[in-house]
Amino acid sequence: MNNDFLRRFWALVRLRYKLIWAHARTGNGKIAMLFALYLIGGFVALFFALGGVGIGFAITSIEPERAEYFARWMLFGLFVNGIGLSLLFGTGPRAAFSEEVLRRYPLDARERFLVRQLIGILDPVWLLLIACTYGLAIGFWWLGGGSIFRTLLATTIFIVANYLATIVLLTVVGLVMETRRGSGLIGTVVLLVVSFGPLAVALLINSRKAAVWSAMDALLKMTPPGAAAGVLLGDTAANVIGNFILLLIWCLTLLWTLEKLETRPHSTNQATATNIIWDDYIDQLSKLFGHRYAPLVNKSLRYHLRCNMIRFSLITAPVIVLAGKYLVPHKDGQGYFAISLAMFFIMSGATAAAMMLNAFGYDNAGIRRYAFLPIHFVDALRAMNLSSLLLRAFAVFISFALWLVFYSNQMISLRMLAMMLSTALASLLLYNAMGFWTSVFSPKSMDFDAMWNNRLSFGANVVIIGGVLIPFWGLITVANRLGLVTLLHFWWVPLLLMVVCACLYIFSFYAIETPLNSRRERLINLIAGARD
Amino acid sequence: MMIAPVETEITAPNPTTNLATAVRISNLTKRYSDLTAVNDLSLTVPTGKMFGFLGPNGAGKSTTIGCLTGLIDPTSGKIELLGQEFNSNSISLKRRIGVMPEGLGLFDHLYAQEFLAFNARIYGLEESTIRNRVEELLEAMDLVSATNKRLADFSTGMRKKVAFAASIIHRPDILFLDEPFESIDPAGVAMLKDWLRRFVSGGRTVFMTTHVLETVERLCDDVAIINHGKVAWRGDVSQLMIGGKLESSGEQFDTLEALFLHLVGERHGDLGWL
Repeated sequence: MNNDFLRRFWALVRLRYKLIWAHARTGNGKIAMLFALYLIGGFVALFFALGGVGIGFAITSIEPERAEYFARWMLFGLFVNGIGLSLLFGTGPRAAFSEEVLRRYPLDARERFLVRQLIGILDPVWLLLIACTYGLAIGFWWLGGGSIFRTLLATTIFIVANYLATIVLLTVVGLVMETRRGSGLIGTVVLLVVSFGPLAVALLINSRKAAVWSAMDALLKMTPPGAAAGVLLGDTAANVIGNFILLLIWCLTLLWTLEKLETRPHSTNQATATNIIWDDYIDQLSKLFGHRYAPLVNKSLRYHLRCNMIRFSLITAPVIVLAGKYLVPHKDGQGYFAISLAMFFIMSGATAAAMMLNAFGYDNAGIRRYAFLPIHFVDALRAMNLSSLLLRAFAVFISFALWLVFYSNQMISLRMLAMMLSTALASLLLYNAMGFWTSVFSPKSMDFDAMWNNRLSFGANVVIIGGVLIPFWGLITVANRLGLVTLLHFWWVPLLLMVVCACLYIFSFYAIETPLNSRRERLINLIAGARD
Repeated sequence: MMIAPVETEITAPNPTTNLATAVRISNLTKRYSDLTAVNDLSLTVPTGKMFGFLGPNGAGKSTTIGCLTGLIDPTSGKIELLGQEFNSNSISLKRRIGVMPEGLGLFDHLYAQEFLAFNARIYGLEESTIRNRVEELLEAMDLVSATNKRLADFSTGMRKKVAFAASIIHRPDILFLDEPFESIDPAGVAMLKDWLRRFVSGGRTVFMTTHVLETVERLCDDVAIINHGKVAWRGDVSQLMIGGKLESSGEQFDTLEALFLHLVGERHGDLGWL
C-alpha cells in the first residue's frame, strides 16, 4: 500500500462524504438529513448507554460465565443492528461506490475491492456502530478484567465479521432482486420478519421456557457475537483461543463467500420467449364483471397483484388478527370480542388501501389511454374500485377464517359471527366508497415499486390515519364501557352500519361520474405528468 | 388455427372509403387559462390520405391530436370524424380510431401480450381474433422474445412498437400517430412505413405528427404546418419526389425543411462562448 494509493483513497472518502452532504441538501434529502441527525443523536446516546450497561453488567456479574452470556446477547444486538440498518436504509456498504464507478479511477482490482469496503465501513452510521461496539467492549474490559490488547483485537475482528456478514447479505439480496420475482420475495421475507418477529419474541418471553432459551444461547455461541464474547470474557485460555479461532473462521468464510459472489460470472439480462398463457385465473375472474368492466378489472387485478406494497398488505392482513389476540392488552376475559371487532374494522379498511384510495396513481402515462379508448372514463375508476373490493374482501374472509381458528377456545355465537362479518363488510364498503372520492379529489402519481415509505396523497392519508384510528379507539372505548353482554345486545348496529355503508358505496359508484368528468383533464395531467 | 397475416388485416378495404372526409376541424380553440394552445384552427383531411401535421415545439400539435382523440375537451369549435360529430364521449366513433399518443400511454406493469389483449378486448374483438392478432403482432414487431418482460423493462423503441401495435389491433379507419418513428430502429421504421402505406392504400387515413421532415416528404401526401395554434401552410408535398417545388406567399422552396424554417422562423442563439 503506497502513498499514492492512500492519497487516492482519502480523496474518494472525502468525495463520498461530499456526496452525502449534497444529497442531504436536496428536497428529498432533507428528510434523510433529519433522519441521519436523529440517528447520530440516538447512537451517541446509545454509545454511552451501552458503555454504561456494559460496566453495569460487569459489576453485577459475579460469575464470569454470566458476563459472557450478557456480552453475547448485547453483541448480537449490535450485529443485527448493523445488518438491519444497512438493509433497510441503504447505509454502509450499500451506499459505497460501486465497482463500476471505481473503475474510472486509477486503481487495480484489489485496490478497488479494498477501497469499496473501507469506504463502506467509514459510512457515518457504521462509524457509530463501531463506536458503540468499542464502547461496550471497553466497558467489559474496564471492570471485567482481561488484557486490553485482547479486547481491542477481538472487537476489531468482530466488527470486520459484522461488516462482512452485512455486505454478503446485501450482495445476496441484490442478486435475488435481479430475478423476476426477487423484489416480491425479499419484500415478503422482510415484511414477515418485521411483522412476526416482535410477535415471536413476545411469545418467547411469555413462554419462559428455559429449554428454548438455552438452545438459542447455545446456537448464538457459534456465531460471531458468541465467539467475540468468548474472546472478550472467556474464563480459560482454551475458551479464549477456541473462540478466537471461531471468530477468524467466520471472517475468512465470509471473505471467501464475498469474493466468490463478486467474481461470479454475470448473467446477461436477455429477454427470453415464454409461452403466452391465455385464459388464466385472472381472465376467468374478470369475466364475472360483465362485458363492460371485464377488461378493465382484468388490468386492475394484475396491477394489484403485481404491486409489492399491495401484495404485502394482502398477505399480512391476518397479522392484524394475530396482533389483536397477542399484542393488544385485553381488559378482561371477555374483551377479545370488542378488540376483534375493532381489529376487523381496521383490517378491512387499511388492507391494500394505497391503490384503492388513489386508483389512477399507479397508471402514470397509462391514464391517457382511458381517455381515448371507447369507454366511459368513469368505468376505469369503477373497475379499479371493484377489483380492489374483490381482493380486499378475499383477504377479509381469509382473516375471518383465521379468527375462528385463533378464538376457537372462546365462546363464539351466531350473533357474534353476524356482528363480525357485518363490521368487516361495512368497513370494506365504507373505505371503498371513500376511495372513489380520494382518487378524484386527492390524486397523486405513485411509484409502483416503492415499498417502505408512505407516499400516499394527503386525502388518502387523512382517510387511512383518521378514518382508522378514530373508529378503532371509538370501538375500544365503547366496548370497554359496555361489556360483552351489553355489546351483544346491540347486535343489529353493525348490520345497520353495513346497510348504510352499502348505500354510501352505491351512491359513490354513480355520483362520482360528474366530478370525475369535470376534473378529467387535470387528473390526466397530474398523473401522467412528471413523477415526483 | 391459421393466423391471418397482419398486412391483410390492416389493409383490408375500408367500408367508409366512400366518405370524402375523414377529419374535419372547424374553428377549434383550446385555452389553458392565459395560454391559447390552439387558436381557431380549421382543417379538413380527406379519406385515404397519409396526412402530416407539422409544427415547432409548442405549436399546438399534440393539443390538436388530443382534441381529435378525446383526450382533451376543446374550449370551442367542432370536430367531425368520418362524417360524425366527435367529442370525448363519442364511444362508437372511438371504436373506429386508433391512437398512439404522446408519451405512448402504456400500462407499464403489464406484459406486451396482456397489454395488447387489454386493448383488443376494449375494442370488442372476439377472443379467438384477439389471440391471433396479438401473437401475430408480437411476431411481426419482433417482440416474441420479450414476452417475459413487463413493458416498464422495454427499451424506448420496443415500447413504441407495442404502442403502435395497440393502435392498429382493431383495424381502425383513422390512425392518429404522435411521433411514431422516434427511437425505433431503421428496420422497424421501414416496416412501419410499409404498413402505413398499405394501410392508406386500403382507403384508411393516417394523421401523424413528426419532426422528421424527410420522413414526411417521402411518406405523406398531404401536409399542414401549424404555428402558434393556427394553420400556417397546407399543401401537397408529394410533388417534391418528382422534382417539384413547394410554394408559400409567392416564394418557392426545394425542400420541406426550407419551407418549414421560412414559416416558423429560423432561430439563432448567440452562444458566443461556444
